[in-house]
Amino acid sequence: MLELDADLRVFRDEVAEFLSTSVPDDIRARVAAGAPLGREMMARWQGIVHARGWAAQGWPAEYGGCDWGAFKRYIYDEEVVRWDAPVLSPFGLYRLAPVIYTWGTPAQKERFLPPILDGSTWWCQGYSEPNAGSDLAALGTWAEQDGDAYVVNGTKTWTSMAHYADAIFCLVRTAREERPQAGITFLLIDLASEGVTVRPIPTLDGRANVNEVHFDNVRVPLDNRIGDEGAAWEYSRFLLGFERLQIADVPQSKRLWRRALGAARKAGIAGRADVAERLVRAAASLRALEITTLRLVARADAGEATSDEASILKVRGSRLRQELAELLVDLIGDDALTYDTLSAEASDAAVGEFLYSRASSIYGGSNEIQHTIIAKRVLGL
Amino acid sequence: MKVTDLLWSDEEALLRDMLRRRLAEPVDDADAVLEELGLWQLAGFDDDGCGALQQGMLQAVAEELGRARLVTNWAAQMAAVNTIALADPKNPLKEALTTGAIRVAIAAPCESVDLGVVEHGATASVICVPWTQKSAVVRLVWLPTSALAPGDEATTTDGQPGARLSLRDALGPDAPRSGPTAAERLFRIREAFDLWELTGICARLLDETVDYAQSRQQFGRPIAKFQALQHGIAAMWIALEEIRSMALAARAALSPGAEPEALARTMGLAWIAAVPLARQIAQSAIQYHGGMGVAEEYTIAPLARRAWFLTQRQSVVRQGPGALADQIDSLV
Repeated sequence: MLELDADLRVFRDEVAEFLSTSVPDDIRARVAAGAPLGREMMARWQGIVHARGWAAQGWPAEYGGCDWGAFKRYIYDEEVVRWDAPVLSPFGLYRLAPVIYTWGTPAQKERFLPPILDGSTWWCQGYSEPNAGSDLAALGTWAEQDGDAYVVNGTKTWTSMAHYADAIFCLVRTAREERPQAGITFLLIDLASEGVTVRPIPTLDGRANVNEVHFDNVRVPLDNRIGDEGAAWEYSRFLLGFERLQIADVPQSKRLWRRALGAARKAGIAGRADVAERLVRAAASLRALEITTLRLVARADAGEATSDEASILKVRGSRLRQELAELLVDLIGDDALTYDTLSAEASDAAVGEFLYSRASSIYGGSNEIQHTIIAKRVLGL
Repeated sequence: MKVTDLLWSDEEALLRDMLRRRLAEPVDDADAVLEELGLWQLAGFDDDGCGALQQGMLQAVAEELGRARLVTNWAAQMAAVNTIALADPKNPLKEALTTGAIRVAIAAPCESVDLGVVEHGATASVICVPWTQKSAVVRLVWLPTSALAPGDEATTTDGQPGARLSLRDALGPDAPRSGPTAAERLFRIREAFDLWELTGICARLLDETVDYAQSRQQFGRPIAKFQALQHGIAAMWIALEEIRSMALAARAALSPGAEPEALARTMGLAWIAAVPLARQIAQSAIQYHGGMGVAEEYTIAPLARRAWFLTQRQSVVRQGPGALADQIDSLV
């Protein structure tokens, strides 16, 4: 939709050339169907992207990153969808790495960044707790220094990918201060450590997407603390400014829309007035979201801070994704009445996506929190 | 759509801000203010005689007129001038229209002698009639008001002065006509002007609601402190930003040389998205103002009614999803 300048057109062609020729067939088939990928497939793909030099798209060049601006990343994401390529797991690459290269010591950068880049260490994010969800500063997982280590006790929950991961980056409490945001520390914990238990939590799509992670007197070397003790709230706020422009996931929603059109055609009902109306209305909503995203991308590329306004992308992106997944399942009809959680059959993948998309308005900051951010920080209410 | 279409240029922002300041003062005669600022010449011709459509500048003015809730026939005039400039440069009315020697009003599409109520029809000297056959616009007819039966004064649903007009006879052979390309152009640019005006109206409705929520006290504190209202007003902002996005898409799509089908598609999607969003904003503004929202003597009711008028003018029949169903492969 966007007419690109010559340099970005060249870039897009390079990305298209890479993605059209480099995605292994077995991976491409599952992505095309909307079926989930396991760790092996995700790691294999990350290795391929890393070999091309494109795994760390937003990282500064000095740490081996591409230093791409917002437009390049948007174009890459569009091409990923166009060529049925997988999306890279964001936890190590985009949630942890920016904290390490911003606040880590030289030794920590050298130790942790390379295995994040090549995918040899798989990370998950330990923020939410049973009693600390939207109110993250209420977290209670406790870390107490004991000699050359912290001893960690507590529980993290809704931890995506923990059942695949090697390690977890956590916000833990190291002091009880009057301000709940104070006294929070950023720790990296090996999931193979003694005292760590990972319990998958089956979700309404019947799959294991999230987990509970228990820490029972887990010893974590002091060297695994990133930044200053008690200062991690600032780091988590800093991270909120990352990835906000990708959160609407317009390219993925476009793919959902096209699958819905395909399902309508397969069922021979694409010309029915009510079906056409739903498809056209969804297309209009998608166009509005896409341009809204591009407006924010353009401002971010020009150096403007947009993270508060980007809450619109979370709200509308998640809602639209839910609507599109619902439309797709409706159009599949009776075939959606049975469901195999592991199958890559189109109908099974669609049902799984529909069911799990119910969570998209919760994770990553619930839509209610996003409305509050808009009300307070954008509108000054 | 180019990257530059996503943001206001410095020149456009300057015009927008200047006009907003000027229109914040009481305005007795909007036409005179536009004249004073030289804005009747925005949709003129360049040195080669081609249409120099400054979409961004036109959008800025249309939005600010909407925000100030000033309804003039400026948009109709600009749409007509641009249509002639780009699609019908040999039209004999070109010079008179460009210099403002004649003022034009635009009728709703029709295929009978009854033109219905024409907004600004009582003050215009030429009525531009999109003539339809089987719901498709096939030509434009530029009728001097002398060709029309004396009209009753009529008021639009929106409270604007208009005239109920009908042709004296069948269409006279002497009336200037423009072909289907011009007809299509007029249609699309009119849609864009309405969308831009609507954007300004919705922005004002949001601003008024934010101000009111911060000043109105209930239960001992400003109602803006209640989360239910905070979330509702945040939802108004979200809706407004999506309308803004579609308004920018409309401006980009109007670039000279735009492929007609793509232009129609963009306008169709824009209005399909904008109609429910604008109505949500209008309803929320009324709701959060309580009784003040429906009282004619305050700001919200006239704004909301104009928003409803514009969405009605562009919504159900022509811009409904059915109109785009045959282009479904090109929508996403």
